[in-house]
Amino acid sequence: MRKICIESFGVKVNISTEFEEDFLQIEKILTTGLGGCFRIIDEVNGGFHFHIGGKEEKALFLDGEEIYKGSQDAVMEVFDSKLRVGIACRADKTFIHAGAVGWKGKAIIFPGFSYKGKSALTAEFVKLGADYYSDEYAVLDEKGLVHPFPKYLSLRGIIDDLKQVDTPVESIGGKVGKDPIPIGMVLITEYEPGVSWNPEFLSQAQGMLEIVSHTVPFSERPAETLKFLKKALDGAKIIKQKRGEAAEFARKVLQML
Amino acid sequence: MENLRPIARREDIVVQEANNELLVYDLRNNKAHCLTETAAFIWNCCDGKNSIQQIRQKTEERFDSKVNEDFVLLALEELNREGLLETPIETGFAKISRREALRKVGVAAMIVLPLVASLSVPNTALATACCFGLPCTSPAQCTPPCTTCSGGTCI
Repeated sequence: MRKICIESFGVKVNISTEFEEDFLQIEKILTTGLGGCFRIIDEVNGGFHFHIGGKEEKALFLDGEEIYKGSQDAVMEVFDSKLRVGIACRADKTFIHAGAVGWKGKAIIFPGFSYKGKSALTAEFVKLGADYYSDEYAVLDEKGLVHPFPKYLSLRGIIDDLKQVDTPVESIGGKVGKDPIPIGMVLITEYEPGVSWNPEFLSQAQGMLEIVSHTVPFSERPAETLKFLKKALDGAKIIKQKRGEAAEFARKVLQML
Repeated sequence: MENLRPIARREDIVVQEANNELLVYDLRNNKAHCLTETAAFIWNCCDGKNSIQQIRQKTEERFDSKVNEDFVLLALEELNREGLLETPIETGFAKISRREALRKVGVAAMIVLPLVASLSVPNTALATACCFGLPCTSPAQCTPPCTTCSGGTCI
């Protein structure tokens, strides 16, 4: 049995496996999936416990309950995703499901659901010189500042259009943002081929309406979250604009700032 | 209409002001609503004491602009539609399309129209609910990103 205990954004996680080969994979996931945003701790009191075990098939357990069974790759993929979700849900910071980059000392965040092109757009901003913060969660502290959560970019189109490949931002010529920064712009965007550039500027309340659905603790603490979002969005430009190709869109956005 | 004294619903809702607009979250149906400045003002006037005429007058004073009764009724219909009034009231706008209503009111209005934009959080919020680890008996009870109900918990 191998085990590792970590703390990430105030969340304690105990991870154990019966298989030596999985342990290396777990260590890799902590790097690629949490972007180094964790520290190893001795023991876990509270928090949650992932365990990888099983006999004929591998299985992933959460707090003693089997939550997934399948091939090694599939189990690791589920573990990778559920580890982040679990941390996002219980963290001492607010997680907004969004891509986030830094530009001229301000964050550009673009909330979006999975499979809506956040990673591709993040990569294009980074290629144009923006600092990388995250392609999955904009992590905000109590002052509304965006912190780096530099998990590896999950890029499609490397093997095929569906399979995501974890890619370090440095491999596309980018660099990770270091400092917490205020939100300068929120982009409400989704892909629509051939769309023309005609950005609509939203009010703060309209922006909040768009963002609440992407804010992880919202349904648990709506009043606190709304108050927090108001503060975080003070002074930010909020723009709604469908986008065609990510590269062209990113260029136009940066020209506005 | 003179006897109508609408009352804004205040129970089971969370309100956040933002530059005179309001973001209202309805805990009963998990819907979020954005009220324009004028809709927010009219909603706040709905205290069960103000008549439609009085609300109209207050709106004129507050925004320093002439508004007609239809302007207030449009706001009330918007609030009606989203369940933000204690008791639904008959505005005359319910049976006409929103576009028609806007045309009727908008021509005369020189200020921001009293509109309510809404978003159903659970239906669209694939990332909202923090259901991780919450008890469940079927996947339908889990809101993404926790899409699976396994071992009695959402993951």
